[in-house]
Amino acid sequence: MTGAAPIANPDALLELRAVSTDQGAGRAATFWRSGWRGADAHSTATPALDRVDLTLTAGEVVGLLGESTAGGAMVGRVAVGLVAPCAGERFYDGERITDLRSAAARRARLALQMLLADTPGTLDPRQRIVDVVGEAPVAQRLIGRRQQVEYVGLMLNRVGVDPLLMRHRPHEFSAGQRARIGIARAIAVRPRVLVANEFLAPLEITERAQVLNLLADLRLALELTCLVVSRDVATVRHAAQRTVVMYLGRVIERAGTAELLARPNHPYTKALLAHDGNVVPGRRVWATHIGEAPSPLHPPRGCHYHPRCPVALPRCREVAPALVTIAPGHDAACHLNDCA
Amino acid sequence: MTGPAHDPILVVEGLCVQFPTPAGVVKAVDDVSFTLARGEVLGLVGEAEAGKSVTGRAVLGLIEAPGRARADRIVFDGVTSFGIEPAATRPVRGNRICLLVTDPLRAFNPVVRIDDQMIEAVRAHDDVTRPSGRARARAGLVKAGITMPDAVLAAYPHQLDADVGVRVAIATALVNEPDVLVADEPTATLDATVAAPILQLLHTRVRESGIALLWITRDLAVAAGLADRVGVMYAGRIVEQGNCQDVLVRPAHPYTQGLLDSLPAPYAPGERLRAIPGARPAPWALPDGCAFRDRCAFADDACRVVPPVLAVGARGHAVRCVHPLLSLY
Ligand SMILES: Nc1ncnc2c1ncn2[C@@H]1O[C@H](COP(=O)(O)OP(=O)(O)OP(=O)(O)O)[C@@H](O)[C@H]1O
Ligand code: SF4
Ligand SMILES: [Mg+2]
Repeated sequence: MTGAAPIANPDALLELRAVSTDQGAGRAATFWRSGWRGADAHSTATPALDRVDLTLTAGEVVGLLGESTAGGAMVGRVAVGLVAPCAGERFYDGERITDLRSAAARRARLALQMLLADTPGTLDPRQRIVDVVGEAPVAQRLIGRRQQVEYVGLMLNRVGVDPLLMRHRPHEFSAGQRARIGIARAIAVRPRVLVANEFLAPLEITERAQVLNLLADLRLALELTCLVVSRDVATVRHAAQRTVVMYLGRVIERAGTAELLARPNHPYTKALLAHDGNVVPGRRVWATHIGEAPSPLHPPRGCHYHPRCPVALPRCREVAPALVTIAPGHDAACHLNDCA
Repeated sequence: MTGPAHDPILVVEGLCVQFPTPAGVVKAVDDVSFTLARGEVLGLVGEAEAGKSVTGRAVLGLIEAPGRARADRIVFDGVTSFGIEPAATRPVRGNRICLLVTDPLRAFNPVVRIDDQMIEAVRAHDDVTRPSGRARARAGLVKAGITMPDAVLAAYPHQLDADVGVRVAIATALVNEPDVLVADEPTATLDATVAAPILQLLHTRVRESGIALLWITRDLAVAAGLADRVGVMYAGRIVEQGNCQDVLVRPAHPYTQGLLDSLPAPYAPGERLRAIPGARPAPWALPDGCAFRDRCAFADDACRVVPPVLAVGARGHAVRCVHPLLSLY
């Protein structure tokens, strides 16, 4: 850490550097996920982020892989500016975001859009789709008010929703259709970065496949850069060129996705990757797991994973391992690498 | 893999459940038949509203008016037709047949301690003293992998973590050593690595004590690992059924194939998924004939007329399709 003003990484479109949040930020933001059955009252607790680094290069898809208590969704919120970190820096397109003046700050805000999992509050239930999708582009003067209907029609066509339904309200659509409407709302402000924050998880299998295809098309057509926050190994493997693995608020491993899958280093990564989503009769990948998941609000000392780790060393209980490069482009945070 | 001997403890034939709704009658379950043997796991898979949960609830006689459940034949432990009405199933429910639901602690009374609820579960079906009921509850918790059973017994439901809650619910469901356990996505809210040891535990318990497990899930990967046989449901009907190898590796029904093709795992990274087009029909307005026909690449006029019958082939591989993807023999 130097005292001078931090300099952006010139290759990065969006960069988070040593971003931390405190527990309060975690609690304040939990309401985003309440209501969805996958994130019930027991598991909404979000850990504090601990010096998370993340770089998105223009045009790439980065996967943020971690389970519900990993803090990936919080990273997504920090990335788009919904939650202010208590420490660390955010850069967009070569500039520190806190240094941006109003017009540039507004541009950055529009350029960074988030796709949220479908919950009752994700789309305003009182708004008609024409306003759900068209309100922001009009307010931000990307289009005139008279163009709204036509523009929303275009957006809905792009995501495969019948434009004739634009006078309907969100609850009249299926979850899969609402996911598409959420995408239309995000792309309507012409973003450069899309953060899919556990976006696909609540969808059904066949809807998820359709939406994955749609997002792949849109990404190419609109030249989007994407951050896919997910707990699903198969989704991240399919969508992301690089993958960052998180556990209880910390980045524990990162590499190109193919490299990570071929040579996972951290014991947690190995355990998680066993759940690769392949349908194999009689394969019981769950036999290897031990222990109970610790509370994200009171993470264990040292390496957060040590109580569940089958190969933990005495040191793992005391000292948090640093993220070190173990192969070109492959970093991991595990004490087993110290002795190697 | 040695499957269990097929001496069924539960036989369900021609189960139908209907709900009148303002939009029309919902045929939530239509002509569902299956058997379940001791020590066997039958996976019931399918997407939302397929009728999986209603099937599970109907087996326990938990369909309440205005819903209507009926079946051609139910055989439980050799006794034909204990019926499918709430009254007929009461003697065995919670005792010989138990239900586990999603986020199962919600089914617990929030203001009663775990020990009281578990002792109550024991004493509802067995005339034992409180201390021996408590001892059985405690032993059940230990068998469910709970490391601090006394602390858990003294707790209220909301004080438990989600994964401990699932274990408590499993312990409670198994405390009377039931013959049949209907598990309706009990681990759906848990992370994969947290659910894993619980699945391992259930699998061991099933094999050791010969419980018959009906495992309801949307997760095909878990179903493939846990189940001996699977049934795939779509729009209230079982469209394909058989052992996991037949159904999940060489499926004969276009919907099963489409469901498997919708999973990204087997594809090369970034490869386009062969997604099933369209959306499922509204449950009160199912099309005549095959309910899948509007989304099916193989559909023709023959699929429009009557619902395809469930044709049964080798190894009990059964398919409900006019144009199955492969011959069943
Ligand atoms: N009490 C009820 N009244 C009216 N309709 C009902 C009732 N219970 C269930 N249904 C309907 O029955 C159908 C089957 O529902 P069911 O809950 O069995 O689906 P499922 O396969 O368990 O799906 P999921 O994966 O969402 O749990 C649905 O169309 C549902 O709307
Ligand atoms: S019966 Fe016809 S429509 Fe239905 S799955 Fe078979 S081929 Fe497709
Ligand atoms: Mg259900």
